[in-house]
Formats: sequence, C-alpha cells, structure tokens
Amino acid sequence: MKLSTRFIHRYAWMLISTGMFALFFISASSHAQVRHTQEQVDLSQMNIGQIHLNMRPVDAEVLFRKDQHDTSSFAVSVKDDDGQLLKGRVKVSGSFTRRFPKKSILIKLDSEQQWRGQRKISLDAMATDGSMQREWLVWQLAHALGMPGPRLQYIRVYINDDYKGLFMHTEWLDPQVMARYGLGSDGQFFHPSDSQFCGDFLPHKKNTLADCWFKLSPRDQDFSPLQTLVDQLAQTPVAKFNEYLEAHFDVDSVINWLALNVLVSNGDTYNKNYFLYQSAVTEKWVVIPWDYDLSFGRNWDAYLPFPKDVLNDNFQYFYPPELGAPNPLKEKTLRNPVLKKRFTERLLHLLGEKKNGLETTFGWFSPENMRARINNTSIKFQSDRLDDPYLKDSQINFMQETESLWHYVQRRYAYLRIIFKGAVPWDPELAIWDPADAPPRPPLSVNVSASLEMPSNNQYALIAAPAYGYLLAAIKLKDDYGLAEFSVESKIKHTPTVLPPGYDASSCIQRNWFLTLRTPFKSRLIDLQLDYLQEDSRRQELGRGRIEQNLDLWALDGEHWQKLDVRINPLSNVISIDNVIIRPSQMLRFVACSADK
Amino acid sequence: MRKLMKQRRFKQGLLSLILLTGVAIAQAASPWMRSEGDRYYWAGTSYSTGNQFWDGGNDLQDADCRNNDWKTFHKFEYGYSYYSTLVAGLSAGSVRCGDDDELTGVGDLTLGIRGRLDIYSNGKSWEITAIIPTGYDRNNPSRLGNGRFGIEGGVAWSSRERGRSMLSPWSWEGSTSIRLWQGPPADQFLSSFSVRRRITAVSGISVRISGDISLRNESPEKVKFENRTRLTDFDKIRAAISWSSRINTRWSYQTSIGHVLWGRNATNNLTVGLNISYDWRQ
Repeated sequence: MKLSTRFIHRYAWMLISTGMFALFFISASSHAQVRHTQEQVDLSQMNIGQIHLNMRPVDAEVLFRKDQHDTSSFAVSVKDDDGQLLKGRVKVSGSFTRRFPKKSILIKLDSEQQWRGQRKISLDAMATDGSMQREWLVWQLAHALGMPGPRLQYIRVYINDDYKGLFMHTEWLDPQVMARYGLGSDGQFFHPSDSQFCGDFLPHKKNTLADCWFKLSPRDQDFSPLQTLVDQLAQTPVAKFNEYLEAHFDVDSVINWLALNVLVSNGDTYNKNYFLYQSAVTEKWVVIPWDYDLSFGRNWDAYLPFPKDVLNDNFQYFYPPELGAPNPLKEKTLRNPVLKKRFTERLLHLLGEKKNGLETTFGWFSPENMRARINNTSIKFQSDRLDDPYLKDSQINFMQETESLWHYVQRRYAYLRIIFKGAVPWDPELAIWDPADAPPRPPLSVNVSASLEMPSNNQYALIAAPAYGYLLAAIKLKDDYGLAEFSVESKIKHTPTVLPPGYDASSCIQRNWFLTLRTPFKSRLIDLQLDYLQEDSRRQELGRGRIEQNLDLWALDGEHWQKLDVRINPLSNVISIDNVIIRPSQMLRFVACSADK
Repeated sequence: MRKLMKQRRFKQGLLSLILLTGVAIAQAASPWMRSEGDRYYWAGTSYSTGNQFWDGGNDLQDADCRNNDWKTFHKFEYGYSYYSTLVAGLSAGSVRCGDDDELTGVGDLTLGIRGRLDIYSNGKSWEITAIIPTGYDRNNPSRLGNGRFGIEGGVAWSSRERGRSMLSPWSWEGSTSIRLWQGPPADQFLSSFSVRRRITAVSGISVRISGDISLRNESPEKVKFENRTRLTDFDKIRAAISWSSRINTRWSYQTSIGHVLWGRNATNNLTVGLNISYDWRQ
C-alpha cells in the first residue's frame, strides 16, 4: 500500500479560499433522522467463521516471524467443513503489511481441491487498520448498493489449534465471482499494478499499459480493450460523457465507486486499488473497488519518511470529491451535469438527506446509522480481539480507532452536507483534478468564531467557522431546557499565553478554545468535543514533541483553573469532556497541555 | 569471405567472453538466502596485474615478467525452499606473464547448498559447496584450477537484513570457511570481512579485507611460474574498496579495486573488477 496522491493535502485550503466551506454550524444529526431497522444495523447476521490450518510446527513459527521480504511458501492442510484435510501451500501475502507481526496469508490449495468453492484462500490480517472495520464497512455498503465484489467474513484462524487471531476472509476475486453477478466468466479482467501508480487511463500512458496493469483473465497479453478504453475516455467530450458511459459502462458501478470513495475519503485510488471487468455478457465495463485501509480520515503524509508517511496518526475529513489521482473516468463523470446530478443524488441518498434509491440504503452513511454499525461491529468481535495474540495488548488503541471512525463520519457527514447542500455548492469546474497542480496552502493562523443555536436533543452538533474550514467543537445538550445558544472562539495555531499553573507554553496544543453560553437564566449541561488539527506533520497544532495521550485539559472560568476529566483521541484529534456545566454568559477558556515537559 | 571472417571473429569473441567469465573459486560465501522459487544470477569479471610476488618466505620479490590476468565467475542461485538455496558457479579466465605463455580456459565448477543459521531471519547462513574440476589437464603446472575435487564448508553473516531500512547507514558482513581438497598441495582456510556505508537508498561504498590461508597439510606441487600464486599452497591477505548500487529492483552492479597486502607464494597484484547481478524475485 502506497498513496499515489502526493499532494492531496493541498486540497483543504482551496475550499477555504473559494468559500465553499463557509460553514457556520452544522447539526450532525438533526437532518439525519433515518434510523435503519435493528436487523439492518445490529449485524445479527454477521457470523464469525473459523478456519483450521495444520502445518509443521517449525513452519508455523517461521511463517509469522520470518524476514518480511521472504516470499517462500510452506506446506499446509486446511480442514474443510466436513473435517477433510485439503492440502496446499501457504505464504505471507501483501506488500506494505508484511512488516507487521500479524501477517496476511494466502493459501493455494492443490489442484482439484477447493474450500468454499475456491482454490485460493485469502486471509487479511487488517494490520494497517486498527479498527479492523474499514474494509468491512465499505463492502457492506458496496454490497447494499448492489456492487459486484468479493464476499467478506471475519474469521478466526487457528494453526495447529493455536488461535492466531481474527482475520478477514476476502473471497478471491476471479471471473467466477463476476459470473455470480450475471456478468459471465469470460470477460476481460484487469487490475492496476499496485507499485506503478499508472492505472489511470491517462492518454500518454497508452503505450505502457502492460506495465501499468495486470491482466487477470483471460491470461494473455492482449491489452487492446484497455487501449480502446483509454482512447474513448480521452476523445469523449464532457458534454457527451453520460451517453458514452451509458453505452460502455455499468454506470451504477462508476457512480457507486465514486460515491464510496468520497464518503470515506479514499484518495489512495484512481491509478490503482480497483478492478475493471469488461463483461462479455453485457459488453460493458464494471468497476470493482478495492483496498480501503487508508480511508475514514487516515491520511498520507508527504513530509514523513517511509513508512511513517503511511503509518501516522494524521486525520482529515475535509478533502473535496476530486480527491485522488487524476483519472479521466472520474473527472468526466463528475464534470458531466447529468452524471454529477446522479452522483450527488446517490451521495445525498446515502447520507439520508434526500431519498433517491432503495430504502435499505437511505441514510446508510448518516452519523446515527454509522455509529450503531461501528459500535455493533466492534462489540461483535471484541472478545475475539481480546484473545488475539498479536493485538491483545492494544485495546486502548482499538477503542480509539473505533471512536475515530465515528468522529470521522460525524465530520465528513457535516462537510458533505455543506458542499452539496450549502449556499456555495461544490463546483467541479473549479476543482483541481491533478493534485500536482494545486497551489501551495496558506498558513494556518487565524482567530475564528461561530455561534450555534441548538435544541436539547441529546445529539452532537458540530461547530465550525466561516473561512476556516475545519471544525472547532461539537456540543451535545443533555438537559431538557430547550434551545441554547453557544458561541465558540478559537485562536488557531496559536501558543496559549494564559496557562494553568506549572505548565510551559511549549508543552501545550497550539490552540485556545473559548466557549460561551449565550442563552440567559439557566446553566446548561453539555458534553463537549474540542478539535485540534493534525492534517500532516507540517499542518498541525501539536507543537513540538507532544505526546497527545498525556494531554491534560484545563478550563479557566475567569478566575480559577480546573483540570477536567477528558478522553483524548490522538487519532481523530478530538478531546472529549462529559457533563460540563456552563453558566449563562460565562466564558470558559480551554487549553490542553502535556504534563511531560 | 569477409562475412565468413566476421562470423569467425564473432565466434572467437563469444568464446573469449564465455571463457572470461571466471577463474578463482574465491567467491566469498554469501549470507543471503533466496525465497522459495527466486533465482539470482551474478557475473563478475576482473583484471589483475603486477610485477612482484611474495615468495615462500613472505618476502616481496621482483618478477621476471608482468602478470596480466583476466578472470570471470558466473554464479546462479535458486531458492529451493525457505530453508535451502541451491548455488552453482563456474569460473574461467586467461592468465599471462609477459608476452608469452598465455593460458585461457575454464576453471572449476561449484555446486552447493546454503541453509539458515537463524531460521527466522535472513543474512546468517551456512553453505557447503562441492568443487568439481572441468576438463583441463590436472597435470599441467599452469592450470586454471586445482585439478582435484574439493569441498568447502563455511558460514556467512551480515548485520543487516536485506531490504529492511536500517537506522544506521553502516553495516558489516563476514564469512569464514574451510576448503578441503582430495589431495595436495594443501587445504585452505578462507575468511573475509567487509564494512559498508550506505550513501544513497540504493548504493553504498564498502571496504573489504579477505584472507586465504593455506593449512600446509599436504605436499607442495611444482608450478610453472615462480611468480604466480601457487594453486592452493599460498597465503594472501587482500584489501579492496568497492562501490555497489542497485540500478532497479532487479539489476545491480558493483565495481571494485583491491591490492594484495601480504602473502606467501602469491602474486602481489592490483585487481579491478566489475560485477553485475540480476534478481528474479517474485
């Protein structure tokens, strides 16, 4: 896994400068009252499977401990559902993920032997996804939308009866899977090379298709279907692109692919990480999404060396729909008015804003439904994870990872509502389709403020400020006294000058929050989330050498400092404080400082 | 006619090229294991020259003529399984002293197996190699190999694991082995140690000290030239500096220059070399 989008970080400022993200306040939940039925969200059908492998003990030890670059295979037997042993070879799979102690593995059974109808068994360790849910969530949505793709199942892996942890069994994607969707098994199947970053249909790469793509089926070197596709995509004008797409593509597969990527902010694609199948039955191309571990807020960092460029705790939710490598299929689809409307309607349907499709997918990505889905999924495999020999010492991290998914959805939902339903909607004609063309970002140094009038509905409302672009805080009103108005001010990228006793300014987050209750007469009880920024190693407010986990949050009520009980989520950069009582007209000043100076 | 001449010259050139691929078996054992199914090819050529030699009493003497030796070596490695790598090598070369007495031909064939000293990591290995003389005349005092069957066993190790990014730019590699021959003139002890400084992500510079020490456990054999290294009955300590770089994920090259520091029954040569390698990784 390596990001192709070297400059995705440049996007955020464009929103600010164009005023598209003129966000005054957002209620994350007030417009998303679509609650799915219990069966749809509680995942009661989510069965965790089991697979038992037998290996020579020394091979089993070596498989998980050997040099990460070794590609050797070892003899293995797989016990099938009838108790019979299927013989084959097992090896570590993946590229980037090989460096983790918990390895993904691939089993290839000897000829004539099959497990669940396939000779290849792919068991994904989900090592780069601490929440272990990204792929699962994306594929649940993809399948709900009717997209062709592999079946996934959480599965307990045992080797010689030793529990090796929870893995994701991802069905091996081959023409037989496509045939299951009525697309036949005799189509042309392509996959962009993961290491070349050029599966993007750009015309100047037309003569290097064999370097940029793997042809999976039929096993020949005929890349002429792709060559034709590259020509067609280059030659078809934007105005006619809807007609072209209808004639040559399964349009829904393209619209859904783009919608998925936009919902979860997947920038690690459009030049890799997807499959393309030209069905001989429909004679149309179908897009199959792939690899969503760098999504839901995880962000590539251009300024950090490998592997920290990928393995970091950066967080973003504010990149626009054009995010990702340049690709004419993406660009022309989103620039064509007919297709853009269809794409927007699909997004708003999934966000629960405007029904335009199946009941089962309406509001699928709304914060309420996603919160239930994320929580229920994690509860489902919590005990398996506790016993996981590779993960049992990382429970705190797991809880933060899971919470960061929810924080991401909250914020992404708010962002997308604004850019698709706000006063200045997202305009693809203003978008920069090649990240390399994005101009440098302006510095972060502003005083911002925003006010919000909110009801007592026990749901979080998010507060941002015009011409800033990122969130400042989220408030949940927990009492029953009705409407309340709050104002939040922040000094962004600003080292606090007023400090709690015993702290040094250099040990504090470079942000001040000021919260004021504008509504008179009654004190109010709230839960509060305070956001700070860590988009990448340069655009962040951590200051030098802060250990976020050790941050203390202090509140000054005008006279006294008080240290608050907080939860820090260093992944989503959110400080959560429960049960804060705020008096009318009182202004609370918050600073977050680390005790480890 | 001209075309025929051209063809003949081409064939001669090709034959020379093939012959110029090796002499000394002295390829230090490698610490690197291949993954199952991976293949690796290495070809090196070197030129040595000098007009002095170390005599039997470790004294440096002037020679009657200048050595001009070309040597080449081909090596092929195959990852048979995670636990064993098969190794094959072939040496050839041309030796000359002054204007006369040129000898060109194929040296010895080596076939070996390499295993892991540490089953969990790469870069630490043992190796056993059979040395098989090719068709040259074993009674010729100026032959290109020892002319006898031999077996070599040793270990090699490195401070780094291949492909793994290291915090320190420094790394080292060492090897030591015993070479036993079926008959005279002597068995041998071989050892080498090198220190490498990474310069860029794909290149580095290294300094290597190697020693070939005769165990002097058999009777010496007559040689044709007094000023030449005497089959296996010699001692030699040599230093070399080399630059190695990866051209891409598969091709690499290495250039080196070295000189003998001390010896017995050995030429006192300056050697320059160029190696290339190709890695068929999965």
